[in-house]
Amino acid sequence: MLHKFPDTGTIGARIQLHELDYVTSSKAAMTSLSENYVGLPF
Amino acid sequence: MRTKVAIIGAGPAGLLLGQLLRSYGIDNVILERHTPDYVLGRIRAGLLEEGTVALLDEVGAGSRAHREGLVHDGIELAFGGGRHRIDMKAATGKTVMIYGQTEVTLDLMNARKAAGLSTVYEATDVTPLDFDTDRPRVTYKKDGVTHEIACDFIAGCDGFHGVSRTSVPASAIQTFERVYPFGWLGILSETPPVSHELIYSNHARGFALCTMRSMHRSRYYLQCSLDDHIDQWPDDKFWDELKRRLDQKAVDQLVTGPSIEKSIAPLRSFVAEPMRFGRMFLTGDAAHIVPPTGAKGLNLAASDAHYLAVALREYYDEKSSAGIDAYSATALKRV
Repeated sequence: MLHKFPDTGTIGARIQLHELDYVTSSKAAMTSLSENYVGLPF
Repeated sequence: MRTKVAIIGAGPAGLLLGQLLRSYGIDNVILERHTPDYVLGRIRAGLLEEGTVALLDEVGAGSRAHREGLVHDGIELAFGGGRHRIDMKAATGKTVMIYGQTEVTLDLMNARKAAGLSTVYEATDVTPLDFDTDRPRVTYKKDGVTHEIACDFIAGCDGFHGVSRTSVPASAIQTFERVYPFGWLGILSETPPVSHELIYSNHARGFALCTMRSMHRSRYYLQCSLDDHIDQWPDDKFWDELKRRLDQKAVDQLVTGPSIEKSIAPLRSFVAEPMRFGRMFLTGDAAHIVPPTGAKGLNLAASDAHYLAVALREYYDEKSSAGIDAYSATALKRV
C-alpha cells in the first residue's frame, strides 16, 4: 500500500492510492489496520 | 555444564526468554557469538506493542521504557499531497510505545546481570546437537577451549543468519520467502522529529517514513534501490529526497542535521515451518522475517518468547508436553 513497486506500473500505483483512500475513510478498514498495528493479542 | 534450557543468541528474543524462564524458576544459559557492545550497537526497530511492554514489566525490565518511551495514540498516512490521521487508540483502545530495540536489549541485559544469570559472550562455533533425542547438547568454543552444555531443551534465538535453523536437516523444514525489489535507506540524526506522530508516506518517487527514537532523536527512511550504496547517499542528498516525498507542511517543519547512523536494509518476508524440531525451538528472526513497516519483527520475537516460556513452564510444573507440542502452531498463527 505504501511502497512503489517497480513491476506493477501506473495501475498498481493507482490501486494503492485507492486502498489508502479506503483505509483512511472506512471505519472498518481503519479498525483493521489499527488492530494489526497495535498488535494482535497474545 | 548442565542447564534446563540452553539459549543461543543474546538479542531481545534470547534475553527476554531467559528472564521469563527465570521468573518461572527454570534455569538457563545464554550463548552469544558477539560482544555486548556489538549487540548494543545494532540499530533496529523502535516501536513496542502493549503486549511487549507488559512482558518487559513482567520480568522487571520495563521501568525505563515507561519513563523514557513515547506513547503514541495514532499515525499519519501521507498520500496525494495530504496527510490523514489514523486514531489507533480510538479504534482499538490500545497504544504503541516508541522505545528503541537497543534500549530494550540494554534493559534486559541489566536485568539479567542483576539476577546473576549466566551469559557467555564471544562464544564461537556454537553447535546445537542431538536435539532429536532426549539428551540435547550445545557445544561452543570460548578462548580457544571447547565447552559442552547438556540441557533439556535448546532455544534458537540467533536470528535469520543464526546456526540454529541451519542445523535442522532440510527435509524437516519448509521455508517460504519473498525478497522485495527495493530496500530501506535509514538515517538517525540528533534532531527533533518532524511531527509528534509517525508519518508513513506513499509517493510517486517511493515510500518514506518519518519516525523517532525520542523528542531529540529522529529516524527517517527512504525506499531505495537494492543497487544503492550508502556512499551514494550523502546527508544533503538524503534530506533533499525526503523533502520531495513529504507534504508541504512536513517540509516546512523538518529539521535536518548530520546523520549519526546510516544504513540500507533489504526487505524480506520469510517464514520457516515448523518452529520446533524435537527438543529445539526457533524463536524470533531465526524462524521468521517480516518487512520493517510497523516494527513487527521485535514484537513477534517477544510473543514467541512468551509462548515458549509458558509452554516450558507447563512442561516442568505440570509434566505436560501439550504446551511445547502446540508452540509452533501457536507462534506461527501470529506471524
